[in-house]
Amino acid sequence: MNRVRFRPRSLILFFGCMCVTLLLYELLMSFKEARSRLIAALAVGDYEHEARQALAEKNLLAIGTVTAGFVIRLLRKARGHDHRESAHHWDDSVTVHSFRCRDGNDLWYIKAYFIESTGAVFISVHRSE
Amino acid sequence: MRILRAGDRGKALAPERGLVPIVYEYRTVRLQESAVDVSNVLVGVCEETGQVLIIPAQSTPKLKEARAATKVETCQVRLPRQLHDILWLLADHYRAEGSKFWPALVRFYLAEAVRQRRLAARIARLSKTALASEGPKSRFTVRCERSLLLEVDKLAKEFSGVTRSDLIRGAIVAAKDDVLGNRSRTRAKKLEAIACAV
Repeated sequence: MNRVRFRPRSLILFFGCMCVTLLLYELLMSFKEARSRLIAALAVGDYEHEARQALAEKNLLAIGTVTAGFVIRLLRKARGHDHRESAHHWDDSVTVHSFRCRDGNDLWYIKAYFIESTGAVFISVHRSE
Repeated sequence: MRILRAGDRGKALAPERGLVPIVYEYRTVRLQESAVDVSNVLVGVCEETGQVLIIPAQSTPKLKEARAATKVETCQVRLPRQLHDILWLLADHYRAEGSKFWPALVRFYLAEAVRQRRLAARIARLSKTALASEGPKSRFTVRCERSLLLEVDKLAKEFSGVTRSDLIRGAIVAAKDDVLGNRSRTRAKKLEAIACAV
């Protein structure tokens, strides 16, 4: 009678793969959710801009150089690997979503977060340096 | 779009203090790069410190307009008297107020010339006719976006011996031919819409 041999290395490998899969799934869902929430906020005009230095350079949506429709198009082109999450440096509990999206030869940088009372708050919408 | 009013309340992130209550107020906002002060802009300010933290989407058109105003240049041209008469006739044709309609007409033709090579060549040719160049002249002022004037200067360089002023003079003669001479119904209709809008 064949006995099933217990192989700890296989087990570790299996759980490792599971963890990586879950992590990737989590990242993908976070990207998809952030992107769709941003697009929805832009589509209905439920967004604001963080007041900052160099507003006219760093947030072209705030000063009307680019339109909400243009930013929606950029976000639709973004893929999972174009998205990063980080904590806001003014408040660790707020997650900031950064996207790098390509439009022709230009690489655009979009940075925004969500807070309860407002839809989306944009920090940056500009061509990447 | 969600339209906010002065006195509405919300929350925003403040430096070093995290999420704080804000109140929306109309304030003068300074765009630091262009050193432009934009008055009566709705912003979200911290209730405690009065610091401007948030700019709602509905304030964007005011900021855009203020920035665009800094990009407008005044362009002065000396026009023969007969071209002034043509401008009066064109305004009368559309029953428009001359002082508002003339600059819009010139800007329209210059923008069209930048886009359409054939029209640009026609305007350059018309600018050298006796109608456009001879006779006692008086001053005509038009306010244009700097970007358009740069394009017009670039265009003028493509035609030898033609300047920005020549193109403006040629544009007025072209408008006379298009509207009063029924040469282009499309442009005449566009000008009609412009006359209604100014």
